[in-house]
Amino acid sequence: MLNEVMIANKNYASVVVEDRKKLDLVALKVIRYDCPPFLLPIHLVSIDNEIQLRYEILGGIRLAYMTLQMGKNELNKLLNQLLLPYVDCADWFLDFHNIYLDRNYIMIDQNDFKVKYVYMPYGYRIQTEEAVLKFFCDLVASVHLHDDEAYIATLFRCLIGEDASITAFADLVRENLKKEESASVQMSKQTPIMTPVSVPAQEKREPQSTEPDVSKEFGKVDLTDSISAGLFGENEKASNKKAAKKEKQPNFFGRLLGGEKKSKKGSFDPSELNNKDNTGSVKMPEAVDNLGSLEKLIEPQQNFALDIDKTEISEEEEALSGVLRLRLERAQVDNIPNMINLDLNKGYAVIGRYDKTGKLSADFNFDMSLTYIGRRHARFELSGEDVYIIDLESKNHTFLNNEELLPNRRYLLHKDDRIMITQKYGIVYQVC
Amino acid sequence: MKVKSKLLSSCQSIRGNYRKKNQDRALCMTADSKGELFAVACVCDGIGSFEMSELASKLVIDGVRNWFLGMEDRFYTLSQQDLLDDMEETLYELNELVCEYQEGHRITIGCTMSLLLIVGMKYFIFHVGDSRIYIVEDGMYQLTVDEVVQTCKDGKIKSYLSNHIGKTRNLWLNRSEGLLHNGNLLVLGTDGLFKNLRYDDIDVLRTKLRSQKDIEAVNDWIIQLVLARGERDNISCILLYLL
Repeated sequence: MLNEVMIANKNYASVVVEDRKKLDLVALKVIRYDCPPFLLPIHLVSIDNEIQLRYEILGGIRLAYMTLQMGKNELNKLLNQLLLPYVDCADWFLDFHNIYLDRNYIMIDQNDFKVKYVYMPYGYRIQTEEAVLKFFCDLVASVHLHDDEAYIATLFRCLIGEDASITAFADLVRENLKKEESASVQMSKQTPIMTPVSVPAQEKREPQSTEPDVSKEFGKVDLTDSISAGLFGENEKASNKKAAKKEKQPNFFGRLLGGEKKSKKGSFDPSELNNKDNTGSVKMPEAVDNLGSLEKLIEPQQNFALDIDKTEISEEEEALSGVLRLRLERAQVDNIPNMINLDLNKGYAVIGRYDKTGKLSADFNFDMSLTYIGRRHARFELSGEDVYIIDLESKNHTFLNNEELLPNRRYLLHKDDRIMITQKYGIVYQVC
Repeated sequence: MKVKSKLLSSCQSIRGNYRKKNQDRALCMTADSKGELFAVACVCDGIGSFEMSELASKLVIDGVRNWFLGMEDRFYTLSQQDLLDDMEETLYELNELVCEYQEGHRITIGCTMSLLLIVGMKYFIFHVGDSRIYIVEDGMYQLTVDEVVQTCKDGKIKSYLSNHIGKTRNLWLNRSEGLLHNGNLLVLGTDGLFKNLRYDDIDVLRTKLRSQKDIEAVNDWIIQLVLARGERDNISCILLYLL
């Protein structure tokens, strides 16, 4: 429905109004002049007697690009902000049925989860309440809670039941948010019950060994609720299997790689060293440094793999095909891998770097000393047969063929395109 | 002509006699190559009213250590401005990590930070909160400003910390810089150290340093002195002596 246009280095989502009589002029005035904080600013443009509505895309990251791995409190905050316009709409003389629900056009401020929607100022309803509930249902389903998986089931019960309504859902979220806040206030008031821990001074380069392990104390809570396990754990595995079984069609990668398929036994993908370890454990970037040498070792094995009968390819091998290869063209710093293999089988991959405490932040992580690369710098997205690149609001920007990418906007990638990750280090990769 | 300088350093952080755990962290790392000094010293004091604040101190100190290890090999190739910008960006990121930790684990943590970076014969200070950095030349001068507000409560004047790491995502980071000379002594410490330290103690300390040149022993002496005066808080002290 919405098309994206770039005008004067600003990113807009635009829609053509087919019948100007159907425009809700009151809503239009409210959005343009009263500027509700939960709506994206709107511009009304008339071109050759055709009215176009343009929404300026700003104010955070798109919901579609957000990492939906969070804690219960964060989820409540996010949902509360998402639902707030539905509660407040009437105060602004707006109809919540006309809020446009597409994750690509919902902007979220990552600091405080403030939400900005696109509002369609039409005199008729663009969607039903059921569609809104379904949107939230899908959203909740895509969230991975690391502290209380059972909470997802609670939310589902409220969204799926016969008497489900947006107000009931908003009340539930708000109630839980209040509980969380009061619990955290109480927790901070409690006196600490801790065994004495003596910690030696950190001096020179000696690592501390007596400190309590942060990850153990506040680590992930095991999935104990059988309901949520049934709802998510099993389903997720099943869907993964389905995805693996999906018949492969010639796509962007197929064309780039000439349709060749690799044998997993005979070849080794160095990016797996980085891509597959998403456990959150501390992993130092040595694996990345070894990429070049590993590739040399693998080369003859790959040739051997091609000689094997190509008709007998296992499901696991099929999954390896969705790999985007980036070859290093130049860089002004060391510690840069010569080749990046991004596994796009899950639909996207994010490149970034290890955070300053040495933890993984993205699917592919550069060395932590490269401060000017964002922790989550850019995202590569597979859409049909095409691959897109999206700058994730990185402070030092991403460049495609020497042109700075606007944040949160998708840019189509072609073979031999050059991607520069920050001008500071002059790291240029070529799509191959 | 380039005068070669040598840097003696000592770093200690103790729980003290009263507190159940040490929420302070201290770090001192030095590299001396091609005659140019490169050192970082940092003290963090976890905020006592937040029960797990040692986690914030640990996050910051780990981050600074990793930054130094990453920079050690290539600080010669960077301009001074780039180096400082990198440090600043790193500290902003560490503040974000502390904030993210609070949000992710639903706890409130925070810490103060006084960081001293020495590059050649220049020092650079990055400071948040009420830990302190002093330079001892002809006298003892405080290089940082305590970020505290004082209010009257129950007829008494009380000091409250007005800025710390983990307070908000938009960190207010104080920066300053200056020149170093041979014979300068730099003292970094948390409030536990300075509450019971007098100016004349520093004269004794400097005399001891000149005669003994054993900076570890001098650091021990200063901490025992503060403990003997009844300090109840965690104590951290870093001494850097430029020969």
